[in-house]
Amino acid sequence: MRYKILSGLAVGLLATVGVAAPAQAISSSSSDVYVVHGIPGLVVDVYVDDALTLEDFTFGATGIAGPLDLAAGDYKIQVFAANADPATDTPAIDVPAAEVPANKSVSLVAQYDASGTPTLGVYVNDISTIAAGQGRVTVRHAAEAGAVAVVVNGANPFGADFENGEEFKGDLPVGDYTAGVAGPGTTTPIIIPTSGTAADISVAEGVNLIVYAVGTGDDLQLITQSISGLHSNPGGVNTGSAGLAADNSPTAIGLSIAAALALLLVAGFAGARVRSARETD
Amino acid sequence: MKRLICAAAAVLLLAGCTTTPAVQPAPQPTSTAPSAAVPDIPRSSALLQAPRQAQPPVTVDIPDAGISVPVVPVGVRPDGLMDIPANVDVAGWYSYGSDPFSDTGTTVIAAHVDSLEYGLGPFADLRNLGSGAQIIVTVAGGSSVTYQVESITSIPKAQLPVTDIFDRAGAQRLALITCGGQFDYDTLTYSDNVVVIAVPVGS
Repeated sequence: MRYKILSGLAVGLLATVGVAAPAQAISSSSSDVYVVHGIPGLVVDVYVDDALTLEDFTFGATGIAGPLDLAAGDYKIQVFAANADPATDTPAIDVPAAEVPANKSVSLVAQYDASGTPTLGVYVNDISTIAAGQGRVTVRHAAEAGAVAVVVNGANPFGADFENGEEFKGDLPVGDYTAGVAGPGTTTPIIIPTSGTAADISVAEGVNLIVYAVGTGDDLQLITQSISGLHSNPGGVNTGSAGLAADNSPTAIGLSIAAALALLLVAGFAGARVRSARETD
Repeated sequence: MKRLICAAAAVLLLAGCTTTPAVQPAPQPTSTAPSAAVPDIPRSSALLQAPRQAQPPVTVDIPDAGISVPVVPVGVRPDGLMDIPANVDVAGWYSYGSDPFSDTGTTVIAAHVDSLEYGLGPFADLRNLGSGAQIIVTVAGGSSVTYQVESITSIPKAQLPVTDIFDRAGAQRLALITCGGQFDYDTLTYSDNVVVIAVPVGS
């Protein structure tokens, strides 16, 4: 039975239940949709089903939009240069029917394909619960480049190369790592970022850190998207083992033989004391 | 570099970035409507960012009860339960959750109420705290947050609402947890958790 020891204010645990809906449960009929700007240097307007949805969408510091709650179904997605007239201008990206599934987290990425043509990458984000003490890293190849290798702390943790449009993911212990992208089958030299030096990334607990390799030619860059709230909670809190603070404590209802033995032995009492305790029980 | 230029040029051509006519047609009354209807969708940074550094609590002081205990960061045990310092005079802060200076969420600090090795601990007095009793949590570096007790609840362990107590997205709160209720002398465990919920003073 659960009871309030202290009435106090009318608000308590019960009043705060449900503050944070778990990110995992979205909707059986819709998805959380993010739009990611993965084309460096271009300012765009994004139209969804012919309606202007993102205006002056820029790369970088404000380059993630969302989440949008979109019902499952097909959507016409068009990306124009900013301020273009959709009635007369030609979109940079024109996808007649991008499929949005139900109950998923989806990233729509304006990116280059392997040959350098702007395209729309559709990725489903893994929002399954992450074990305590770990974070998730998802790496996506959205750059104009052939097969590449992911390098984390100097090694390729995935043991394979990946192509434009593909992703790798894994859960890692919380902490700081270096990450970059190298040529296929290699771990050096780093080709993304173009600084040639692996980037510092921090894996945070319960967060899916999505790293995109984007750009083209000699302007290859890393951008990131974070989806938090995927943490798991401790299964419980076990905080006592002697019964000294119990409602049925020895002083209240008499000392059981088992507890008396355990307490006295641990406390270092001699065997004679144990016998006397038994006699007085 | 050549590829870059080609690609950029292709984008511009595809996007129809032609020279704007010098003379614009007179704006129609309806021409601004689509712009006004653009939904307000939150935008965030795609740049690599260093995460916020946690501010780990180092002491919990409850002057009313004469409690002052050091706090150490803890995680979870292999069996999934929250890790708790063995010494009853030391409390554990759930380091994967919020700290007192996080923008949101509950700072969770727990300690054993007793143990066969250390005897009765200071958290045994939690259940006797009065409403509004002040709890001061000091973090590394010396800053502190003062909370006042909002509720004290005894909850069967199996029913502990961990999703609520370990919340990271809601209002800033402090949860102090220990054990209480009936003691099972066979398994050496308590039936209940005693949970103190406190809110920042002035909130």
